[in-house]
Amino acid sequence: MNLRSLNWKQLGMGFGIPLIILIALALLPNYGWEYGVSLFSYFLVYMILTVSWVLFSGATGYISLATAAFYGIGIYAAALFHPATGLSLPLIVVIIIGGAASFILAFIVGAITLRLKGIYFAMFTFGLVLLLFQVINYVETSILGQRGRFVALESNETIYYYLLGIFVVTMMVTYFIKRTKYGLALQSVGENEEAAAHTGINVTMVKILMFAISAALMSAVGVIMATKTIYVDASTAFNPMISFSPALMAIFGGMANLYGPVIGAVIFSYIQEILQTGSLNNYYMLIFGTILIATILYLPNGLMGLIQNLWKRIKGARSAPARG
Amino acid sequence: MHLLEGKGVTIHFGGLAAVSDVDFYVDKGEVVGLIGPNGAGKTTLFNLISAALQPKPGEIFFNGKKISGLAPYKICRLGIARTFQTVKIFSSLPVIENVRVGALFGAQKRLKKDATSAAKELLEFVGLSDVANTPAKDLTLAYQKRLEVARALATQPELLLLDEMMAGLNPTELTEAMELVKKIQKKGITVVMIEHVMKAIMGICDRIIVLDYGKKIAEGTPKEIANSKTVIEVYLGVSNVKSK
Repeated sequence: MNLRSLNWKQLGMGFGIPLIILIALALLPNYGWEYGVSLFSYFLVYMILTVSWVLFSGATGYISLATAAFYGIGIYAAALFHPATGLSLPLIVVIIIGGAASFILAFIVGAITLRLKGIYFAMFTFGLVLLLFQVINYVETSILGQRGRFVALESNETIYYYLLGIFVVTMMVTYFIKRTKYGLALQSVGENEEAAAHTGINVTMVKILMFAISAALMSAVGVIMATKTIYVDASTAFNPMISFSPALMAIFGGMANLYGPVIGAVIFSYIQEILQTGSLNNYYMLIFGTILIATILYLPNGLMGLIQNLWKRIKGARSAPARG
Repeated sequence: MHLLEGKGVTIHFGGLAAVSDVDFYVDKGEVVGLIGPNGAGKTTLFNLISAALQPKPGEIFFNGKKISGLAPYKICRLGIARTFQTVKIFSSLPVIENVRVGALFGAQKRLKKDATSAAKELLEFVGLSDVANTPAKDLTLAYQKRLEVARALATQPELLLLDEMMAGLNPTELTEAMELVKKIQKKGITVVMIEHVMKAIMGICDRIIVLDYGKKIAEGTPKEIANSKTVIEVYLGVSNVKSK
C-alpha cells in the first residue's frame, strides 16, 4: 500500500470537503440572499449546540439537559456587557466573558453532580435551567424592579459570521480532542467508568473538563443570539426547548462520528423552521414528536447509521460477484 | 519493607463486616493466592487495595507509602493494576485501543507512538495479536480476560491483582492462563490472585491467604494450606472432618 497517497486521500476526506463547504458558507452573505443568511444562522446555532452537546454527553453517556442554562448565561452576558445603551464591550470580549462564566459554573456543577448516574444527572441538569430562571427572574422583578433587558442589535451578517467562527472553533476543539489521548480517555469513560479509573484515568476530571468546555461553547452561541433580539428576559434566555433540541438532534443524526450531529441539526432545524413558519404551524410539535419516536424505534444509530448501513450494502453488493 | 502491607483492614456494608481486621503483606516477586468460600471478602479486599473502597478503620501501604484514601487512578499510577471478576472492558473499542488506554494513562505516561508499540508487544505477550483490531466485545470470555490482563500490564504495574482470571475457562485455556501468570512473574511483576480453581492456586502460588467471613483464618505455602485443619473445615464443613 502506498502510504503517501493514502494520506492524501485521508486529508481530502478529512479537510478537503469540509474546507470547500466552509468557503461556500463564508461567501454566503455575498449572494444577496437575505433569507439564506438568517436561515443558515439558525442552522449554525443548532449545529454548534448539538456538536458541543455530543462532545460531552455523546461520549460519556451522561445526558445533560443543562444546555439552556449555559445558553441563557450567554444571553445574560450580552445583556450586561453589550447593552443597547451605556457601556458596551466588543462582542468578542463578551463571548469570552460568557464562555468563562459558563465554564466556571459547569466546572462547579460538574464537580458536585457528576457522581450522579443516569436519570439523576439528567434531572439535576434540567433543574439547573429552572433554578437559574427562577433566581434571575426573582432578582430582576423583586430586587431590581425591572423585567428584561435591552441588547445592542447586530446586523444579520455580523451574527452569521460570528456563528460561523464559533462553529469552526467548536469543530476544531472536537476534532482536536478526538485526535489526542484525551479523546480515548473520554471514550473509555463512556464505555466503562470503573475500568477507566483503574486504568489510570482521572475520570472525574475528564468528565468535568469536558462538561465545562461544552458549556463554554453553548454560552458563546447565547451571546450572539442575544444580539439578534433586542429584548431578552429570563424566560426567553432559559427556554427549556434549548435543552431538549440538541439532544433530540443528536439522536436523530446519530452520534458515532462528527457528521451525524451536524446533519441531524441541519435537517431537524430545517423541519422546525418550515413547520413553524408554514401553514402547518399548529401541528409542528405533533410532527416533531412523531419523527423523533420513529427515529428512536427504527433508527437506533440515527440518520448517519442508516446511511452507513446503506453504503455497506451497496459496497457489499458490488464486491460480492468479484469474490464469487 | 513489604511491597504491599495491610494493617487491621476493615470495612462494613451496613451491619455486615465484609472484611474484618485483616493484616496481610505481599513481598516483591511473589505470587500470592487469595482464597476462601463465596462471600468471604476476597473481592472486597481487592477493592480496598485498588481504592474502589476505603478501609474503615485500617491502613494499606504500598512501598511504605500509605495509599488508603487515594483515588483509583492515583493507585494505578503508583503501580497497582487489576482485573475484574466480571470482565470490564471497553467493549466497542478495538482490542488494541483497550490496551493503549493503559499505556497512555498508566504509571509511566508514554507518548502516542510508544504507547502503540507497547500495546502491540503486550498483545503479543498475552497472545491476542491476531485480534488486535476486533472490537473487544466480539472476543470470547477467555480472550476478554486476557485483554484485561494486557490492559493492566500496559499501565506498567509493580503489583498486579487478578480477580478470578481462571473462572469459566476450559482445560486448555486454564493451562494457558497459568502459563501467562508464570510469565508475568518472570517479568518481575508481583501477583496477587483470587481464585477458586485449586489446581491453579496450588500450581502457581508461593503463598496463600485464606479468608472466611471477612477474617483471615490461615496463611502459608500451598502445602501448609492443603493440610490445614481450619481450611478443610471451612471448605468441607466441621462434621465432615470429624467423621473422617
